[in-house]
Order: sequence, then structure tokens, then C-alpha cells
Amino acid sequence: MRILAIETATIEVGVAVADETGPLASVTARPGRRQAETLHPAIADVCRIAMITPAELDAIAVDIGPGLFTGLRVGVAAAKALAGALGLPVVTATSLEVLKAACPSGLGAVIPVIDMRRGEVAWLMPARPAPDVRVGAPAELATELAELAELAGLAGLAEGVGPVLLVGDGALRHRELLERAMVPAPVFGGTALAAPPVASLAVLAIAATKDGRCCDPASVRPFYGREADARINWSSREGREAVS
Amino acid sequence: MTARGRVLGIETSCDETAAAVVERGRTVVTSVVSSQVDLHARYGGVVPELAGRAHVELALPVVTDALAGAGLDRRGRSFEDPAGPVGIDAVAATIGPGLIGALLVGVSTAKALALAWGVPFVGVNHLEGHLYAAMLEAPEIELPVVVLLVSGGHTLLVALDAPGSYRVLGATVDDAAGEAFDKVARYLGLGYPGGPEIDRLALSGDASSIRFPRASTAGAFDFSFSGLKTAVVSYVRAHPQVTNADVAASFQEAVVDVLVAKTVAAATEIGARGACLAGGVAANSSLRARFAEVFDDRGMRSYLPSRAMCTDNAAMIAAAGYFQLERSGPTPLDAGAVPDLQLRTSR
Ligand SMILES: [Zn+2]
Repeated sequence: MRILAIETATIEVGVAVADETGPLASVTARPGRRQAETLHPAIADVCRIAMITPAELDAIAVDIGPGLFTGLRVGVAAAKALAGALGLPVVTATSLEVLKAACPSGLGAVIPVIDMRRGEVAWLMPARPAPDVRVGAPAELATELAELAELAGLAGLAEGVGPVLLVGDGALRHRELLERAMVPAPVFGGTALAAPPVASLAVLAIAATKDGRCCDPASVRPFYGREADARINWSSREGREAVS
Repeated sequence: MTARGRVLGIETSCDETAAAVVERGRTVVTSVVSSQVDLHARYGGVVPELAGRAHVELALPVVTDALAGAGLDRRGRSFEDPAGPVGIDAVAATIGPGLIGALLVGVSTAKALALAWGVPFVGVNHLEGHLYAAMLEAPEIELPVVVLLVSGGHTLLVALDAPGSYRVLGATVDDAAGEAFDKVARYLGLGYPGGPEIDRLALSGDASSIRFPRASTAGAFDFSFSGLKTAVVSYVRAHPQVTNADVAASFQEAVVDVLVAKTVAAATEIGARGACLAGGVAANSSLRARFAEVFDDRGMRSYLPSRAMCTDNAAMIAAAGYFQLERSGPTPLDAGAVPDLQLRTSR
């Protein structure tokens, strides 16, 4: 079984091909706003490196967010189109799940935090399933971290919850605030764990496919985590007005 | 490209998600348009983030519908021969102008389809697409023709010399014609979209009741509408008793006068065989009537595409993609969207 994984939820663009033995090839770039320019050549490159054609794939995996809206749309649109055109199912994962899966286990509680801009982050508390994604100001996350430490204290865990590992670009961006949120202070993942690694998405997706957790491409949509902003763009309107 | 020259076109520049299959740039096999107008109506304009979200959900189903209309399944294979070859020779998408978040959905979808099928991708200028609208409905058309492209974002006069070969003769120096309709409609407290509201209201008004200015511009084939909009506002302020119907009719008359006069002058200057209307404002009934009448009087052909072909659709994008592929080959996969893409003379 071979899966092509697409990751565009944050500032990174990543594409990987994996099978049951793990990743066969992956490409990662930081193209700034140029996700649409970077993603498709990367898909072609990864297939070439893995020495397969798109027709030899068995499923498409995509990170549906939360993250940056434009990148999510570019990645999800590409995944849907690839899967549709190749007659393949899609496996989805949230950016927070992918980040969490990328962390070595046994270190303590892992809390992935994704930067959503406009003063908001998305995070996943330990032992919570993916649908329980929280979105809010970094101060709200700080409050939850303090509560987590307090609960652990009440439960008689002298060391608190053990080391709490904060990963993701949202954790790095708000490091100063989050460091002071709990005692002992959380540990921060480095820049290598700022963006969800596409190889982790591919490995998660292989497991999900084996369990039959696939869906039809038509049903896949980004997980935005925030309502659409209803600002009107007058200058770019075109072609609509005189339709009756 | 097979002899059939089948191009799948995708259009997501504003608030329509559209896909179409066109053969050799001339024959529309199928054209599907899903409009988001109801989604945006309560905001009185297009909300870019809502448009982007809707395009992501609609792109694949709309493409699937278009493929089905061409006898192909979602994998681009014939329903009769699912193990056969892909029945699409190239995938074209609008790369601009338009809303960046909307354009990128179509571009990403089209490039992924092209990759999956191993066929060329073509990035198309939306405005060039409009130039082929009349040709798609009137295959007997003789070139050169002058195209008056009028929409909410653009007012252009273009000489179409041959498929893929055109010259921009003039453009608006300020507001687009459709923008003027929309702003006046909003000022008069009419609904959205404003163009059809003014068109309807004007039917019951007297177009000669108010003499609004016909702006002159430095370029013989350029347009200016911002002064007209200002004139409407000051007239209504000075004459609070005036009816909306008379204002709408007189305003529309002023716009149509200028549009038609300059198209006639341009057609005469380049020795055109005829003239075409294109763009959303081309659905305006007064503009259509006058356009046909004036060119008839001069013994010239006029082409008034159907309403579906005037407004944004993907058949025109597929046609433009076909001609572009013939003339200049595929677009590289590292192409992005260009929100402020201009229409420039093609040689
Ligand atoms: Zn248009």
C-alpha cells in the first residue's frame, strides 16, 4: 500500500510517499505565501524520487488544519482533485494530531499548539481526542495549562503532570507567556517541531488506511477552527453585477 | 493532445464555481456553473473568505458533473470503457484576475488533475476567456471583431484578430461599468446585485428625463464612469422628488450611450467584421437592444452571447486554454494565481 501525503497547514509545504515500511520519499519547503506554486512540483518530485507514478498510489492523505486558511485550501483542493482523478480514498488528520504523532512517546504530556494568526492558537489537551480541538487566545491556553498543573497537584502528583512538552509554531510564538503558565515550566519543542512533519502524516495515514479510516474525496473539507470573516472585497469583484 | 482536443476548464475567480469540457476551443460539450450569489447577497457584496470556503467544497463536485456531462467518470474515463484512456487532453484554470483565495482553489485543483492524468496544465487569463464567449455560441463568426467586455471589475474594448491573437484598444480609467451600476444601485437603496435591479427599474422610467454627462477621456476608446456616479448623487440630492425609475433609466442610458458609441468607433477604425458583447453587464437588456440596433444600422454583425455565456463560466476558460496551449504550450506546475492580472495585447 502506497500513500501520498500532503501537508500545507502552516508555513511549510510538505509532500511524502510512504508504505508499510515507512516514508519512501519526502520533500519539505518553506515557500512563504507561495504554497500553490510549490506544492504541485513537490508532488511530481516526490513521485519521481519514490520511483512511482500517481496511478500507482493507493490513497491520498492530507492535513485538514487548523492552520493558515489559504494553505489549507491549496492542500485540501489538491488532495481532493488527486484522489478524485485517481479514484482513490482520502485519509485526513488534523495538524495537531500530526504534530503530536511526531513527538517521541514516553516524554510526558504532549500539547500541540498551532498558530492561527490574529491572536489565536489552536491546541489539543493531553488525553483528548482530535475532535476536542480548542481554539482561543494564548492566555486561554495558559489558563488551561495552570489548571492542568493544579489538578495534577491535587491528585498528589508531587512532580505535577511530569514534563509537559509544547510543540508547534503556536507554542514557539507565545513561548514567553506559556513558559510562566505552569510550574514546573513546560518544555518547548524546537523549530523542527514547529510545523507538522509530512512524514508523520504519512505514517499516521498508513495506519488509518489499514483500519479503514478513509473517506470519499468529495466529503473532505478544511478544518478552519474559526468562522469566516465577512469583510467585503469591492475592488476585486468581477462579472456578477448585471445578471438578472 | 488527441485530435478531439478536449480541454477541461475550471473557473473560480470570484463567486462562481464552474467547470466545462470544450472540444478544440469551439464546441461546448458540457458547462456547469454553481453560483454562490445567495451566499453573499446578505452582505451586499462578495465576501472573499466565504467564496474561498465555498470553492473548496464545490470544485470537485462541479468538475465531476462536467466530466459526467462529457460521458466521463470522476477518473476521466469513459463510462463505457472505465479501463480505457483518460478522455481529457488538458486542464485549464483561471489564474487571474480575481480573489486570490478563490483563484488558488481552481489553480490547485486543475494542477492536481493534470498531474494525476499526466496531461498539460494551462493557466488562463479570465478576461481572455470572456473574449471567446461569442465564438462558442456563433461558430460561423468572422474575425476580426471588436469585443466590448463589461463587468463588475472591467470595461475593455478589445480587437480579436484570430483565436489567441488580440489587441487591447481601450479600458476604463476609473470605475468599471458594472461597478457604476452597483454603486448607483446602492445609493438608490436597491438590492444586490445592483445591475439587474437598475435594468428592471429602468423599464418603468423615462430615459430622457435627466441628461447625465457622457464623459470624454484622453484615449479615444477609454471609458470613465466615476463622474457619472457623482452626477447621479448630486442630482438626486438637488431633486429629492425625482423617482428612482427615472434616475435608473437616465443613468443606464448614459452608460449605454458611451459604451455603444465607442464600440462602433473602434469597430470602424479596425475594419472589424462585427462586434461582440461579453461580461456580466452584457446581460443588461438596454445595452443588448442598442448594441444590436446600432450595428444592424451599419450593416455589421453583432453577437450577443446568451446570459449564461456572458457571465462567468468555465467553457470560455477551456476555449482560451485550448488556444493558448496551441500557441504557447503548457503552463509550468509552479505557476500560481495572479489576482491583478491585466489583459494585454497578445503580441
Ligand atoms: Zn468575468
